Amino acid sequence: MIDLFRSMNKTDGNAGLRVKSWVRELFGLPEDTTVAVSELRCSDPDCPDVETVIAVLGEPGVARRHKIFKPIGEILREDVADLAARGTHG
Amino acid sequence: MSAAESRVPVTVLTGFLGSGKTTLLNHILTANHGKRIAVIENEFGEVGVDQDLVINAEEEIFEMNNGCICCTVRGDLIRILGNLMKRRDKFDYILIETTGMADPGPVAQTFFVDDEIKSKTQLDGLVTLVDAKHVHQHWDSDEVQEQIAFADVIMLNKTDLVTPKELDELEKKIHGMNAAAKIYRTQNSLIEMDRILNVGGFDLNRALVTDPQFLELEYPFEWGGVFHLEAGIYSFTCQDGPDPAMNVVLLQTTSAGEEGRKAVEHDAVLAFSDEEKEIGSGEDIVIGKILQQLQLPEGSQKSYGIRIAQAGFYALFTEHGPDEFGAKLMGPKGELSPTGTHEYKPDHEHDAEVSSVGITLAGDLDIKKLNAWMSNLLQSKGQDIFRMKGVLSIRGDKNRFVFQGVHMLFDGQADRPWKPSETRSNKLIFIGRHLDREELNEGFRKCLA
Repeated sequence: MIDLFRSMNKTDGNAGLRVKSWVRELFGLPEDTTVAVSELRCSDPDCPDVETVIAVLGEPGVARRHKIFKPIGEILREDVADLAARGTHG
Repeated sequence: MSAAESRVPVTVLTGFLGSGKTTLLNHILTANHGKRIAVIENEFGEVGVDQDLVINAEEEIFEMNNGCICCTVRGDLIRILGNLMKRRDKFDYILIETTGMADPGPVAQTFFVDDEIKSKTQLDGLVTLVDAKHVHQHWDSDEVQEQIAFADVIMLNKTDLVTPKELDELEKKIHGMNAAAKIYRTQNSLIEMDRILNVGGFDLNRALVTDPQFLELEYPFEWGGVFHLEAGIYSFTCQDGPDPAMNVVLLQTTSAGEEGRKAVEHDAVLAFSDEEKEIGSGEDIVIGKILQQLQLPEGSQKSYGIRIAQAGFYALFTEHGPDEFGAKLMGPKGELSPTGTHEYKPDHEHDAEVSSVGITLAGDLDIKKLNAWMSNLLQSKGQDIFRMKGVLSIRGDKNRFVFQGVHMLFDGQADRPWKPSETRSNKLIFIGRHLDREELNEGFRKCLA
């Protein structure tokens, strides 16, 4: 069960920016590609307790999703490199 | 300036087609508020002023996580906000005008899922316009219900096209659906800017500007109104009515009208919980927080004195409607007319699918029980809970805990310490569809330590 009242993970946005820049670099994306990075702590029983979803939004209606099962602040460059190497699509 | 203070506030305008969104948008853009506003609009080319930053968006619903409603966002907004933030020095405020059929959930959630958007923007509030004349044709629409349920501010617009009675009924219905929203009556979408901009609807530090104690209160009186009285002697007279007695409270207040009535409403509620003092015909009604029971014997005279030493505004609250007893306040020049009168209905409207449930409970909560209950609630009912917010008292924690949420997305933090003079208590509100008031109250009560 998620601890709603104790484990709020506040970031200043830098963690998200860091992950976005790795995604652009390691996936070889143009600088203006929209990337959304979201740490989800969803209460839905089908969702894991914590995961970071990375969405690469290309043309409208075209998007790729990737997941790393870690809080956003703990994601390392290698994690993103692994994703890029696997080319995993969500 | 801290990172939090430099976040750009965002207001979302929603409302059915024809409710007056574009007119409001044009008012905002031409108003003298000193803000440079970037506009993201979904309905093409209707903004009638020169704006450098008007961006057209094409609604694109995007699931961050397949099939999970709480992770559904607006892809177009993520793109546009990302690009806008590169021109951060060009504007101070962002306005988003949605289409009439837009679901506000994904719009709101866009501001909570992406880490960068969360750190650079602050969703300030959802303003929903309601066409007072035509909304009745659309009550069954999910979009209309959700736009009302999600709103921080509701503008009942086009009020000139309906009767005051129709307007009262509409306002009551909407208040039953979303008791946390501020409701304003407007014509031609005209409203003061500070009522719709910088309202802090999603600001945890302003989580409960509306006191939920009043959201769900079953008022102990059926009527209230304000009289402007000069110093002198007045009489409150009644005819035979359905009851042999009626409780009343008379309080001095600050102003005429609704504002004056509301200023002392809380005091009146508290006074009505006291033991009543019997007042026979010919005796005086005392001014102050004293519950007085007027004795109304059938067939005999029923007149009660009111002595005003100081001219001013006085709010009268009565257990039953004055009409039921033919009650009148008589002064030296005849009958006086009250302002800001309101009929309090003790029963809630239950016809709307969408409703608000407010809970106020004194005492400390057990964190484990609370977490289990809230997690289970969000799992089972998250799709139906549009918004929630509250202030909680957790056992062993010297600080208040404030939270708010949209569907299953939950955001909370420690707030200021409880003051020694304060009673540690919990106040929260849920707005959603098919909410079970008793179940929510009962479930929350079981979380007490």
